[in-house]
Amino acid sequence: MVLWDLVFVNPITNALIILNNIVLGNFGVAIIIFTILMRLLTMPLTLRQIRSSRALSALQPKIQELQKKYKDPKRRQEETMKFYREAGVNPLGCLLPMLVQFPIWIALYNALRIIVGGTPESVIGLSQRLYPWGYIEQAVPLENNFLWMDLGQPDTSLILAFIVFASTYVQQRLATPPTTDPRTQSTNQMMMWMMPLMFAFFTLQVPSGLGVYWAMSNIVGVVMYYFAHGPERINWRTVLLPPSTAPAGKQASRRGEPPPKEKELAEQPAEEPVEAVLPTGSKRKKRLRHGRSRGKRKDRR
Amino acid sequence: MLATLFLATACVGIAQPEGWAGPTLADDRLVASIGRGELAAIEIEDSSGNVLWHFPPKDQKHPDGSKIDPEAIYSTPVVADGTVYFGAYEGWVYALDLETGDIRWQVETGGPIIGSAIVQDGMVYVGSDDGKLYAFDAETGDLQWLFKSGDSIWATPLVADGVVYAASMDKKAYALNAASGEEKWHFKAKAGLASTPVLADGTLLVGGLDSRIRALDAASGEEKWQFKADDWFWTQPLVLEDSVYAGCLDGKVYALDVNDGSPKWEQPFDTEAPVRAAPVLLDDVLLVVNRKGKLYGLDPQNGQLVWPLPIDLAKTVLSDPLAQGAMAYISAQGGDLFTVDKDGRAAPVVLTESGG
Repeated sequence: MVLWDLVFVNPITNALIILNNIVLGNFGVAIIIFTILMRLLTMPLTLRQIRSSRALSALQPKIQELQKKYKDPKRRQEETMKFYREAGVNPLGCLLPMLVQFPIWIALYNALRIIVGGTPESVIGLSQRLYPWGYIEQAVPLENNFLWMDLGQPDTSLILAFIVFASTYVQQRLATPPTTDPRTQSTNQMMMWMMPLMFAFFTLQVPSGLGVYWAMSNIVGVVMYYFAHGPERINWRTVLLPPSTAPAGKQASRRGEPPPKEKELAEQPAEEPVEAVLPTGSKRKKRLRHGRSRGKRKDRR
Repeated sequence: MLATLFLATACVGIAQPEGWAGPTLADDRLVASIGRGELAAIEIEDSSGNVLWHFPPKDQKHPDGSKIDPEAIYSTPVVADGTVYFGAYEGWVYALDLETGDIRWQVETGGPIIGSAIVQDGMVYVGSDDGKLYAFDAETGDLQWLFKSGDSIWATPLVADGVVYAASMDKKAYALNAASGEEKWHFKAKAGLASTPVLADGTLLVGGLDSRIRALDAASGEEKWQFKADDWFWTQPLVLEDSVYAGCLDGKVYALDVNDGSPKWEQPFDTEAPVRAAPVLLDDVLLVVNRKGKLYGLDPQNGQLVWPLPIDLAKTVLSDPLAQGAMAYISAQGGDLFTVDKDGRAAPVVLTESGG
């Protein structure tokens, strides 16, 4: 635990207080800037997550086809995994970057709780974590008021809870890859509501400083998806509409992306589309966006 | 995903104020915190205590009819003329009848009260988290004057020779006219000041969050000397003859020359955990308590251990002990009371209810 504090919690705590000093003692603004900086720092991981998610999305029609083709669950599983392998896509690829980011998130939660704890006991606890620099020491105690909130207390006005709910919902809608598996579809649909509701509920229980962090982190996440997917691929009207159970193509459409070219993919032989659909490496993104190059490559072959 | 979310949220939660009110003794009664936001008058007999009354009273409310909920009590009660004065974290200042616990008067301030009240010459002085120092009439609770500092006042004020000395988180120590609240001088430190100031022969000693303890000229506010440690000074220093003893959140206890701030011991005594509780003297033994509830008996001359081993109360202790000759009462967080004597014998005080 000491190592955890030393490596993660304490540096984040001190960085937040330095930011607080830079923004003239407005800790709410410090949290927002810190969140943006952290999201930028972990952007390579987030982008990898987005790409993985999009790659999985593009493979769905073929997966569906494999599921229809092989009735034996073991064989189906083997063929599916083989297909993923050949496509150069890790089905857990979108989870790994998220898992890597969790220590930072949890450390940030801890740091915020320590800093905006607000009680005299928590201020004593804070003293044990601050670097002995005058620039940091002079910031204590921090100004906890930001807009209508006391950052050390839960926001009972429901405004922050609503912002967290809405931003989590939009980010979920953009981030959840479509699937052809009915069970996964059902889980996704449940999560689409459960996650925002849970975060909104937590916002009502924890210091509002954390709620500000969640809301800001979601908003930055949405902006990243917007630019990573490309503005032309997101239909905000469909993103904001409630989801429903539907086949993969329609699912993709509802989350704001054009449906994958099912027919085009289905026409390709089982060994071939892997390379054709998802070339590995840096060209993957380009090829997915521009279907024509795939055709040209086929012709060349 | 959900499991991870739960894991993440398990790390958060609202920090609840616990309080660190120390005990006080008046007319053979101990008035002490016996739980979060709860105060009691206790008749002490040997190592047992008979609870005479509780605060908050079940049958009394705020003037507006709302329920009394102190949340936590950091303010060590002060007794004067049969009345108990203290402030609560919910922001109210109370005056209770020492005999019955009935509320004589109650006044609301604009923020939580962390420091203790001081009663002098018919006035009650108390600082609040709203940044104001209040002066109330001790008899009626009527506001006499208030002084606004630039930030929270968490320290207990000091009153001497018609002057109120107040340390504020706005980094300043103030000297005010006790009768009018008019400012005489202020001194600006490098960080917030949270420790209760003490006076020693015209020298005001105050510790701060800039890890320094400072000696100021009480008449002018000019700095005489300063001593820097490795963490904040939040304890009320103890002055004995020409020495000042101060616990520090770096876990050490320092003994300094009151005239120039030079160390009196070869090296500070290390308790290995933050020290918030003020050091007190039990006859000729300096009692030091750290946050983990470890008690050390030291020789004030050289800082050497008098007791071979520390006493471990196994409780968090942030409140100032109450010294009574060769023994002291210690209030731990959670409401446990202990006694300790100069020979290093400690015992819990077992409380019984008298139904009062």
